Amino acid sequence: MNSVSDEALAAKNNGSPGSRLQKAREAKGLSQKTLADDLYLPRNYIIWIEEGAYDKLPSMVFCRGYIRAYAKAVNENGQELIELLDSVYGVQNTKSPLKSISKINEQVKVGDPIMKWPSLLFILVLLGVVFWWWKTQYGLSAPVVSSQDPIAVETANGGELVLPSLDDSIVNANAVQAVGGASDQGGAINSANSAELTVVADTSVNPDPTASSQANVVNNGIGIDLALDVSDSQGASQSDGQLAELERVVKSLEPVAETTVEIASGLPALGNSAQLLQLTFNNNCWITIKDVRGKILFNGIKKSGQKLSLSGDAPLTLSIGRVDSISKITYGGVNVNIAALGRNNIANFKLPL
Amino acid sequence: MFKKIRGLFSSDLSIDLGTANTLIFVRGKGIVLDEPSVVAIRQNGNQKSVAAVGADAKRMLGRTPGNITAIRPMKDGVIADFHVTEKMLQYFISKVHDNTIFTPSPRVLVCVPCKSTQVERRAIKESAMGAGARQVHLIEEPMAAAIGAGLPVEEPNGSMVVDIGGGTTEIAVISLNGIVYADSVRVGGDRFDEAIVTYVRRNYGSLIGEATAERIKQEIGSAHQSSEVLEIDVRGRNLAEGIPRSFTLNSHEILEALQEPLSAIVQAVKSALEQCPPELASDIAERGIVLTGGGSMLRNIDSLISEETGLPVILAEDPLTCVARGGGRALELIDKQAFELLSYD
Repeated sequence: MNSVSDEALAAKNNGSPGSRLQKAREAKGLSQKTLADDLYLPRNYIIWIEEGAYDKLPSMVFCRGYIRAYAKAVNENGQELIELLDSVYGVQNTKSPLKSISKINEQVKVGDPIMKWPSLLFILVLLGVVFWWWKTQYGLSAPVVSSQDPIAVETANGGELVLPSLDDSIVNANAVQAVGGASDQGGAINSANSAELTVVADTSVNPDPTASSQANVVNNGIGIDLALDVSDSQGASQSDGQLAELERVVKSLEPVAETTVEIASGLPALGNSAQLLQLTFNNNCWITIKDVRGKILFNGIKKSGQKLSLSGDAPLTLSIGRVDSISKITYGGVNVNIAALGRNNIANFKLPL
Repeated sequence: MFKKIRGLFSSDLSIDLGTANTLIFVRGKGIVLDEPSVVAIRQNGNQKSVAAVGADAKRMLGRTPGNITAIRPMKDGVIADFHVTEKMLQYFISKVHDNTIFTPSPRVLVCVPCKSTQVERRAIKESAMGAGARQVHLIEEPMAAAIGAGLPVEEPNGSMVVDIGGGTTEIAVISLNGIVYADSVRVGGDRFDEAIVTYVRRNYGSLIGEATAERIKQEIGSAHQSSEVLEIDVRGRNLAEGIPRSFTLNSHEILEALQEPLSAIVQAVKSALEQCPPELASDIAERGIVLTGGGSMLRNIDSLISEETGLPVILAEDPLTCVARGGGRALELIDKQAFELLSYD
């Protein structure tokens, strides 16, 4: 067994480029040193080539070059020896893939999972934060809607029907309040010869039925207050026509009111803790109202002539920026003397007192 | 936009735009074109048209009728005739693309001499763009030659490469994917041919053509004394008699003829070794100098440089295609956004 492997090894060595070159050199009578001097190579390189220790040489490209130069010096066929080298030792990968010496960060594309998932996660976190902020800021209720610029509608008989802005909130309104009286409404109602109707939909809308169903009930049940004021300066006939028109408008509002009342009757009765707060303003005023849980029921500026009706779990915390701009404040139908509570025209107090 | 769409149907190319030959390497295919950089222009009145390009045009060199001019648009490694180079590149690029529906618009890497000026580089770039390239990158010839020869250019070891081309000889010391020292001398295969023509005219009183001079160089040309003496019969027009005469040249005569251009190359190599930082010079002394390019096929040129410098000199395998193959491999790095091998104008 051993003898066979030794023979194979010997045959391999005989056929190796190194042994062939060595034989050719010896046949020519050249020493390793002489040849190394002729080729300007270190003597070690000649020894390593003859021994077949190619891994000790600088690299395979140089190794092949040295073998060709050696072969040329001893009149051997260099190309044949290179082919032999490849066949005996396998085709060495003389051309390894080019490497960059600087660290290359390949550009990440949008479609890459590395880019996609963190982006998605970031968007979700962002959405979560926005939702949390919105919830803490406003609860789950829609922003408080106050009557803004009045809408003037020309009637068939040439009169003008002035309605405060009735946006979507009126449909969802938990409290609909129609307040008449030009003197009370100030700038909102200013037409002397026409029927005037002001629907104030100052309410907090809470779409979460479980969270504040009681508040809805209060708003729905108590907040409906329709008041008509018809000035009769232009005669009875005209007033009649305007009245009829006004009634039609009011009727169109009634189903909402009725429905809400029905809902109210179907729900448990409201406790004392949630009573209606009504404020009437005679000048612009900044006001913040919070309920017992710190939920902001209203935060903003009310204009002159506007009214604010809302309810929340008592005690309510009120911050009023301009006490003298509030003409009347009632809580649970009882007047509150705000003048005593204010200091420097600013009031911070809780209701009930 | 259209170039991008056309680019989908095009392969990335590496072009060795040499003075003597133009080689094109296509990624995934290898060297697909190796043709002489010669264009034959036919003139009909004021109109000029391309009659032939490459090997066909080279056969016409010096044998053309009055209305056809066979010209070499590259001289000393740079563009001598911009429009003709553009036409030539256009022809070569379309030739390597089988697609006939779309005009190819490939990304192209062109090899330029390391000492070429900004204007010359810009001219090459513009010319390639004019030929339909979508993107043109430049790489210095010795760098491409070193990569093509398989030298470990990314290692922190000095490698010296001498690329003897048709128009120029580029000498560079490379380490860590960069050129530490580079020099370019405008001596190459063409100068060898010219030297042979001059020698024959001076010593034999006969005029031979460039093609004949090239054949003499390839068959019996030698750069170093050797015991073997080779001979060749050539025919040239005798200047005194005005009729063609035949005479015999031997390799020793050609060696004598080539002394001037060869000494210019040796001087440039010595100068590069002088300028080289000592650590890299030590690496070069240990490993040796690598010769590439068509000029390195001149017999015994390795012995000459080895004797003159006292350093081992090895010949690269397949030296004619080293630059084009090296450029082709450099294209791989462009894909990886690594532009450290490239040159800028």
